[in-house]
Amino acid sequence: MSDLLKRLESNLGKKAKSVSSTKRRRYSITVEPENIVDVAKTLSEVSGGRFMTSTCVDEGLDFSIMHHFDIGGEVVTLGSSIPKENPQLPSIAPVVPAAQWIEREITDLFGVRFEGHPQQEGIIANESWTGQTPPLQKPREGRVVPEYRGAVENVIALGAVVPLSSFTKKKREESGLPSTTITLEDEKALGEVHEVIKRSKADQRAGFDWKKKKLRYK
Amino acid sequence: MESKQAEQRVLFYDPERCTGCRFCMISCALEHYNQLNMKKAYLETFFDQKKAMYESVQCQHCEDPVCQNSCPEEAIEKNEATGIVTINPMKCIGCGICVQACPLSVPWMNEDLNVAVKCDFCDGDPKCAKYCSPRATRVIPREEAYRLNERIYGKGGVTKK
Repeated sequence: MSDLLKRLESNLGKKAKSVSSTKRRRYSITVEPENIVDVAKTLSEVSGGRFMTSTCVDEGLDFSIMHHFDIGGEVVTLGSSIPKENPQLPSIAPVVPAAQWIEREITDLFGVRFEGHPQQEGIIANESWTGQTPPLQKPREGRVVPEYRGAVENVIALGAVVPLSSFTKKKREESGLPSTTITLEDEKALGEVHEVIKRSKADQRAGFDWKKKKLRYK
Repeated sequence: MESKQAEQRVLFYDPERCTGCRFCMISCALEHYNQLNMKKAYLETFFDQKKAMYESVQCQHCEDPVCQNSCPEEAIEKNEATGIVTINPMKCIGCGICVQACPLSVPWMNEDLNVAVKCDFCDGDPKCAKYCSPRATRVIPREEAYRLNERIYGKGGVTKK
């Protein structure tokens, strides 16, 4: 483990979700959106980082916002992911003034709103563009194709593609087959299925919303 | 040097930290002219071919300003409390003597307004230093700036009494 990685971990503590080295002289820090200002302040003031630039990537359902810092010739990327339904992120411009224009540019091109930015107005887009979808924003789409969306939703939420109907149960009894329980009726089994799905991150890849028990796109 | 003069804040440029991004020039032009136009900046950062390093020319807000002494209309004033040297555009006749008098050629003639313009230290909060993320251009007390400049440019390299 390199010195910088150790220093970053001790400086940031619990504020960072993960600190890792992706390759030689490249480090990646992932944070929750509410901690991004604190971490940016630590990187720029305590670690003496130079703010280089920010990037925004449209990942279909989420925006990945990455702030890149240079600490003694090594690149530290501070990343955070925000949902497209409500693209809001605290602005780091009050603590890192050099980030002002790039944040305005991201607002222009992707429609991400930066809370607490001292100057929330466009910088490069044409004035006639207001009211339309930002130029680099793609449609909100996941990776599941339309034909399988219902099935995937049921598998993640209920643990089965379709629930066992009473007619089928009756038929099974009549033909002498042993009675079966499906995961929908058995809470323990459903919990196990959910555990497997969460561990394999299948829900994240499919874009599943656990609160609404639905996919985030239709 | 008087203690008051020594405490006054000036811009200091560290070529070893500079990356040559020109954010200082862009932010200066945006602050004063609301344009993203580096030609309208009140300071200049350029690549020095001889030293193979970046170099920045910015107003030192001298203790005894040459531009003030050269001005025939007394349009250039030095604020004794803050040490900031400014040109009063209402008094300036656009003769251009200060442009030639300044050893660093900090003032330049603005052809649109027909007056000489120069760094006004953004009224105490210079945007060039604020936007410089490698902290190459920064605001420090005058005494410290002299000491650091001597280390970079050698003794007598700075305009000094």
